Amino acid sequence: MRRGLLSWSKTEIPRTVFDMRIAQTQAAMASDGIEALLIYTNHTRPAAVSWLTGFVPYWSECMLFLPRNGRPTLAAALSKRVHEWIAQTSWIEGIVGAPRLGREIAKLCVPNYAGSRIGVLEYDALPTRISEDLSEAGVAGVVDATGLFDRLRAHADGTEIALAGYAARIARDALAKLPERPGDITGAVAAVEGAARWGGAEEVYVAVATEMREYPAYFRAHGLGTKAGETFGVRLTVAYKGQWVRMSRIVSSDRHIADAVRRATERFADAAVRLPDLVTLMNASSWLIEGTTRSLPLEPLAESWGTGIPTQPLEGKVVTVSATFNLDGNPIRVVAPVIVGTGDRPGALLATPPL
Amino acid sequence: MNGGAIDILVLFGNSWQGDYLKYATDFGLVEGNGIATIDAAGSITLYLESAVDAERAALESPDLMVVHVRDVVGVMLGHLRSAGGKRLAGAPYHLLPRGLTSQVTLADATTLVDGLLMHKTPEELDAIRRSARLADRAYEVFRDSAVAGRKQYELVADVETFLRAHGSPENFMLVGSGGIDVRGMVPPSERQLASGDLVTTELTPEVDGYYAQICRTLVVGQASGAQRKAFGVFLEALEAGIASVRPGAKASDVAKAENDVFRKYGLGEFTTNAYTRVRGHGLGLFADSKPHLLEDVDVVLEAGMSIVVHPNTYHPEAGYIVLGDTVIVTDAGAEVVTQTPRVLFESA
Repeated sequence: MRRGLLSWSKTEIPRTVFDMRIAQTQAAMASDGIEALLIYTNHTRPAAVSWLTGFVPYWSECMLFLPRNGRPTLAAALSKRVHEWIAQTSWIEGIVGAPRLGREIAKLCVPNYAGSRIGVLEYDALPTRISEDLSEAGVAGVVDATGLFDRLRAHADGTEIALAGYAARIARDALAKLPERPGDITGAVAAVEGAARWGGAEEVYVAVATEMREYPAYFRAHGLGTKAGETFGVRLTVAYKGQWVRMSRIVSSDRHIADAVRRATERFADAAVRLPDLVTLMNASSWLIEGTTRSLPLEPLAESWGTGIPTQPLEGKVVTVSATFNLDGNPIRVVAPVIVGTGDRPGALLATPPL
Repeated sequence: MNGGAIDILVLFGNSWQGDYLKYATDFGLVEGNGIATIDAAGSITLYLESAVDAERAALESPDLMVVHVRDVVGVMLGHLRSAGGKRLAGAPYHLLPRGLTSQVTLADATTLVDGLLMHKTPEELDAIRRSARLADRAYEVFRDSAVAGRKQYELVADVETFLRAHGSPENFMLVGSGGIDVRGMVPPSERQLASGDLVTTELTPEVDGYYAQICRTLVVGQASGAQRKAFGVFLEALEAGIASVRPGAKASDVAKAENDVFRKYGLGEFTTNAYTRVRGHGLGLFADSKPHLLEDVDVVLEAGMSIVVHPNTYHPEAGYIVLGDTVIVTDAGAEVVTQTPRVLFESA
């Protein structure tokens, strides 16, 4: 569950930002002939609703109802006692308790939108009970509105970039707490995660590569007794006010490998500033680009083991890039967040992974 | 597979509700959604939409066939359609993507899997005991950290740091702090603890995949007479609830035993859903499992089940108070596995 700092900073995200995003969404709805938009959210799929309202469900599930004209309403399966907290941490005025989300949302749809097109973000992924409750209550004319959202989130706005930058700095500063000689990996994980949480992270995931020279892949540490290898990697995922980034740090007691890590980081930075041009990234033995478009905070947008072609244009997006460089026979994976360049602005790392 | 009635079982999971999928795969999702298929021969395939979770699954669960797919629903649909004629069932049915259930016939296997999740093996119960011991120690960290001036999220950060250092990868935790204005617990905010605050938490670490929960309340500084008096009601209610746990008792019996204490003191109103959600719940691969302890839930308790009994609610003279312990149902009654004293703690 989400148990980091969940709060709405009106300095960092003024109400006008949410108002602007909702207005943009409603304009797109008008363009597509959609009268109401339904967006499901839970712990795993918070990104779309948090982008529109700031609301992040720490647990359970909710659904946002956005009419083409007017303010959104949130149907919340969370206890009614939590409604005040929802109102404090997000820009939502209308909150209704809904043990059965579909039935409550249907009450908003049926009387006012009969015969209208009702859009659902990621319609096929909608939980069955909600879908069945909507149908049983007579909600018709439902269409998938995923394409609409893809257009809306094609480019990061200034607020997203600023918050992602803050998240990147939390990650960088937390990774700096990684001991040079980690020893037991649980201690290393605790040092990094604790620092990120003290830094105000909303969510923190730590994964480790115990011996990167042998296998540059990350897993979640649990249990006691596993020792860090000579070349130890940590990948930290941080959310801050709805913006998600990942960053890695690799420490090695072998100075040759430490030098390879430095060179891999330089190659990574060189590739990052050239995005959306993927040519430099092709020097990596494998790579993955993740970003936020729909409800998942970090969904794969392109990967070297797939087609290698992004599912959507990358220009102007905040993405996390993961690239493995093979240097002197050592696979070194570097992970960091990047603001992808546009015609007007070159790409840039949001923060440089600490060496 | 239910006496041969199911050829392929489809289990859905994500980082919120991951227990059904984890039961079969022993893999805990952190990011994205996942679907596992299990055939009658026991062959398991795990489809994950997160690239990083797929990489992790390949390392953490090497016996599974792991497939990373962006379009989990589309790929699963193709897979299930190709299994023409086979009997398919899914759980938890209500969370399965409609893109699947609207296109292929899936029987609802939720009740079947719920039964498996509620009844623990001795090995599963041992994991819950280990989790309970860690919960007790984590609450000591919580008490030490809960000092005036500390922000709520910093307090939680200290607990999480302790839990990671001791091998627990996950924790369900809510907090509250303040006076009679506080009516529940939520994720941590920037609010600073102040002298006289009631500070509440339910703390639920995962050890070897299994959760145990402890709920306690402390006062920053010295407790007032009203706080002590109010706490006494919760203590009596918790003891009454635990005393009613035995094989053959119903979930409703435990809830009623707790609520009767509140009613005895004229506080029955505060046992309703306007003030509290449940009077306890199951624990296991999920931090909030069935059965829910409510006066209208007639699930019969059996040896091998694990639950938390917690009469948490609002008290009009003190604010929101929590007190709860993890209990294993045994042949003889109840084994309380959290050991932290049931007192209203006072912190510096």
